[in-house]
Amino acid sequence: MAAEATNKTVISVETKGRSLLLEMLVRLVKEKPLGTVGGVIILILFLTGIFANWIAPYGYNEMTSAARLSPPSQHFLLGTDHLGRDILSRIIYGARISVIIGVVGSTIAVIVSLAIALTSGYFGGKVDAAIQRFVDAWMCMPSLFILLTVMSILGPGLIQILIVVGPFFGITQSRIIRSAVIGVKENMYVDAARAVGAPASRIIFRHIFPNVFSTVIVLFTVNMGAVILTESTLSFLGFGIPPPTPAWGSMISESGARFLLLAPGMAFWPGMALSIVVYGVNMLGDGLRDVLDPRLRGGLGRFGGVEKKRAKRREKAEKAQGSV
Amino acid sequence: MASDDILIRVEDLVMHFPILAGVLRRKVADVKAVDGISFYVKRGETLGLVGESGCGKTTTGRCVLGLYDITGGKVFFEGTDITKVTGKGRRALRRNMQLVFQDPYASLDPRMTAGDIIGEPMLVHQVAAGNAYREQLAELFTMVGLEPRMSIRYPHEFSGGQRQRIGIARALAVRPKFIVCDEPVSALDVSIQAQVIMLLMKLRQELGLTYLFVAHDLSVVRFISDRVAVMYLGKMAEITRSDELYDNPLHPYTQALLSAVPIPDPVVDRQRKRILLYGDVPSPVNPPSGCHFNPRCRMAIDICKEQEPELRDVGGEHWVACHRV
Repeated sequence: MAAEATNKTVISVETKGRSLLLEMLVRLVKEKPLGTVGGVIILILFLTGIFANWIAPYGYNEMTSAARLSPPSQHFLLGTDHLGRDILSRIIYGARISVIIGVVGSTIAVIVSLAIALTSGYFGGKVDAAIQRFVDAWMCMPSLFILLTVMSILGPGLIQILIVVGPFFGITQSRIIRSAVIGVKENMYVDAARAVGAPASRIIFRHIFPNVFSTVIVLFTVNMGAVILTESTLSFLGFGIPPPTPAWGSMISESGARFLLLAPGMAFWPGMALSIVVYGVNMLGDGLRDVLDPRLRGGLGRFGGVEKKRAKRREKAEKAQGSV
Repeated sequence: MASDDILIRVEDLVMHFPILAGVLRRKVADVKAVDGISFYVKRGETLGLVGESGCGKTTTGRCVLGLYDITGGKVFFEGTDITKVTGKGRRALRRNMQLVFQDPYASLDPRMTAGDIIGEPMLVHQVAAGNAYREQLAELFTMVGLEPRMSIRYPHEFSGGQRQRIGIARALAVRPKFIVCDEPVSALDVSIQAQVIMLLMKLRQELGLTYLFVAHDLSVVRFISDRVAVMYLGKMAEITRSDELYDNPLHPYTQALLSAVPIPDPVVDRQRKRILLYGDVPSPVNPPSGCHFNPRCRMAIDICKEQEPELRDVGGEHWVACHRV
């Protein structure tokens, strides 16, 4: 990117040639090792979910009645549960459900949040007052109460969970983004866009949205863990994914909690998997936030260490050429 | 004077900001930021607008551009009253009138590249696209003394002076006729100030621009302006040609203001008499009756407390609002 930039003759302005996504990935790997670790964790999670059929040593509902509640062994790497099912296999299959719930639920939540927050925060005044009173009313209600009411109407199931949990988190957390929007809105560059004559839609999407994006990403990563856990709560109460389909949440809270003293692994291993995934999402989110913010581009300026050195060397060479 | 000679005419401009209080957000008072001012700007000239902090200079500039819903009065641009224009018509007007901001650090979106920032007005007003867009962008960069290859950089990678150049290029992008410069140099250090001022003057000549130059630095204003308007507490105190203002200030406030300008010669500086103003600027929420300046004026007489002085022509395009002149 830099090499091309300096070598081209200066007649027309530069345009960003390479795809932004690729450039972002390259920078993530170069500048944010922790974010990369997070990215790898998420990638493994996705692959596990997709290829569960091939990876898992047993079927998720395959019972070995002779080996119930057995500790980790050669045959069952992480032990078995109270029905003699291999925990490792169930975790691997559970990745599917958890990934779908985490990613899709959190995405829905963030989209709902953004829609509410951008309208409410940007237009302010009466629009804001009306929307925020609705959000207030929503936040007043005990969360479980709302979730259970809607779930009992819709019935248990994966799609139902997403429909309920996504907007639920979205409405509750829209306020976080709204305050960010209000903060950004007061910036002079928003005034400048208005003075230029930009319509509200352009100001919202080109100026305000990119500037609240870091908040959005943090919210997304935080939501992901919370959504997965909410699914487990619903499963525990019998409104979640119907058994025997494994989901990490239900593995922890349903049977895992019941047999905690007899076979701690039943709750521990899915809990571990959940923690690692949430950690990974958080790290990836942090990394992305920094990579996306042009002001925080690495400690060495715009490029990482190696690029910076190369750029310096190039500059020197150019100077030498210029003086000849 | 021929009326087509005049690009901007402001008549009795009033801008009050309501102060809301209580749960019901009832209006309890008004901040009278601009309280009935009139002036005009001729095509191709620079009108300097000076006054101390909080006197309504910036508000005036923004009202002229139609960035606020004004409380009263009229603003004419090329003979049409733009306060009545809304929607699409207003957006079209924005093409002709642009703003250069005071703070080059805050007025550029940190998430956009310099090229995107400068090109935004062109995209909004659909002036150019594709190759023509890139060419015009490059031209704008060169015009303000930046290199086109800097267009992929982000604002934080520029110095203050360069950022202000970006701000100026953005204002020029749609080839406006009229630019309000809202203290464009007060956030820059002195050596850079001169560069930016020279740039503004060069552009005015090349592109036939008309400026409303808002500032509080009197020497800068004198340098760039053809005529200067002095504001005090939302009112116009004096408008005249800039040499006339500096040689023969008639309003007591202008006199005090000018006597505060430091002279870079200690001998001359020691000899001259300073006019000191006592007290503070009264609150624009509750300005004094009569002439707004009367509590601090050394020449105030009874009539100044009772009657508001009219802005009147004392000859040779010299307008003063004072009972004692």
